[in-house]
Amino acid sequence: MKGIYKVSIKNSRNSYVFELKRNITILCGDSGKGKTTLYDMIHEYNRFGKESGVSVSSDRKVVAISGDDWESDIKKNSGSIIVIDEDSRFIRTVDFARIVKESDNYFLLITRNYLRTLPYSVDEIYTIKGAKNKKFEPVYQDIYKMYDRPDKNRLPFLPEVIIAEDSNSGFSFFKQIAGKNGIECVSAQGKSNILKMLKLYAEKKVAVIADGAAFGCEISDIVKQQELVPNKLAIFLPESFEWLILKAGIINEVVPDMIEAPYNYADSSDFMSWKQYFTDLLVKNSRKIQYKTYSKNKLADYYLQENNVRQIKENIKGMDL
Amino acid sequence: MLRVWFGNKDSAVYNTSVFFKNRYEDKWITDPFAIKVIKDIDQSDVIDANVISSPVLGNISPLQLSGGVKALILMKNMPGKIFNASNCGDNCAKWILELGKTQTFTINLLHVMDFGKEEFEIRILNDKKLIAHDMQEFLDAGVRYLREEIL
Repeated sequence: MKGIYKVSIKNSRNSYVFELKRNITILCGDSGKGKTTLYDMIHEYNRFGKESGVSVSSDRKVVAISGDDWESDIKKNSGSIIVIDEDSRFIRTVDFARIVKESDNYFLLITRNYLRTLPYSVDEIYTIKGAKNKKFEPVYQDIYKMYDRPDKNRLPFLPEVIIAEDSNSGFSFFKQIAGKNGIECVSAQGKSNILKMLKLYAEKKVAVIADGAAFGCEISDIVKQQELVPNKLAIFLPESFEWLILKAGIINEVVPDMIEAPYNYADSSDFMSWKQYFTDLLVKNSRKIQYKTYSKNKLADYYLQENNVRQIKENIKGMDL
Repeated sequence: MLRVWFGNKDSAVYNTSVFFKNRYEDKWITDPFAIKVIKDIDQSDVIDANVISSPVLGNISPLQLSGGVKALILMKNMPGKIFNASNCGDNCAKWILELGKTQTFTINLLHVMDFGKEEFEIRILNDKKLIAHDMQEFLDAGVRYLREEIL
């Protein structure tokens, strides 16, 4: 499934309008804002149709799922928008992650849980705003992909240390440009280690660089850490390192719309996240010219050439590198 | 004292709304604590044990309270049971801390709840010697135990 889907759900007391554009969207936030009411309205519409008094408007079927038959219910509703409420224990399981990966659905998950098995985006985490007319509002906001709501007057951020999620090509790139500026660059060897590594550099100004397209489960805690150390922690979350390269325009073989409108191309049956999509796009297009061939494991010299580094840095405006 | 278990806990009640539906008592709704949290979190007024006036939903039953409020009322009235507090938003945190001042009870967290900037005392049951005194210590504990958990 791919594309942007506008969903409108209404009854006489509540109206919800929102858009989904990736396979996993998270709805969280304060209690008492109407998340479970939204789920219940969809569930009643599923059971009784228009006779429920609920109206649902969407180009895809919207299905509320709960209970022990969740796996077969998801499989029966291929091509649908699946909504799951916070009372469903199964969303933390490895089995659920496998089903999401295999399925041709979009998922709206109502949860605050730490879901490390699911690679969802920091930009697809929403809370509900509004009284009767409710809308989804992003929880985390950026300037130049710097999170969360940075003070524009304090950008660009000059770090003393960079902690990169990546340990391969992305890390090689940032290590080179950081080294030239006397900035230490270390790899966390995975996103779930970043917060532990931050403890080692508690006295320094640190920039964390990670793949925003799959960093959703970590963002809540790392933003809490950012609030605890004002002005000392910057969080730079491009979609992925491969996205930064593609955005730089140094791989001319790619159709620009495939970078600017990934929702029209990144089929959820093929890619569990846009991180995988951008990697695939870069790998397939870069190998048309041998010296540009991109590998996640080892960064080709082409990407470290001065002109190309400058082009890539054009999309890292929030940091002084 | 408030006690927290990070990660899955078999003995915890995960689906607090279903548990509330089957076990709540009328006197829990008209209790001063419930009246305050219903007003603060759901912006609603308790009329009597069976009727709550909501500005959005009109007159509702206690079963239509938010998941966070139901969990808080359960924590207050059944302190011997462990409830999943990841059904509670951060706007419930101050009420959980307040309950912890007058009674000992345990909550189960599957995320790191934001308990704010003030000092507090929360015992982390994953390591019974550990007491978190502020949000930094609490975050450190949550990060550790949630990421170490085997799913």
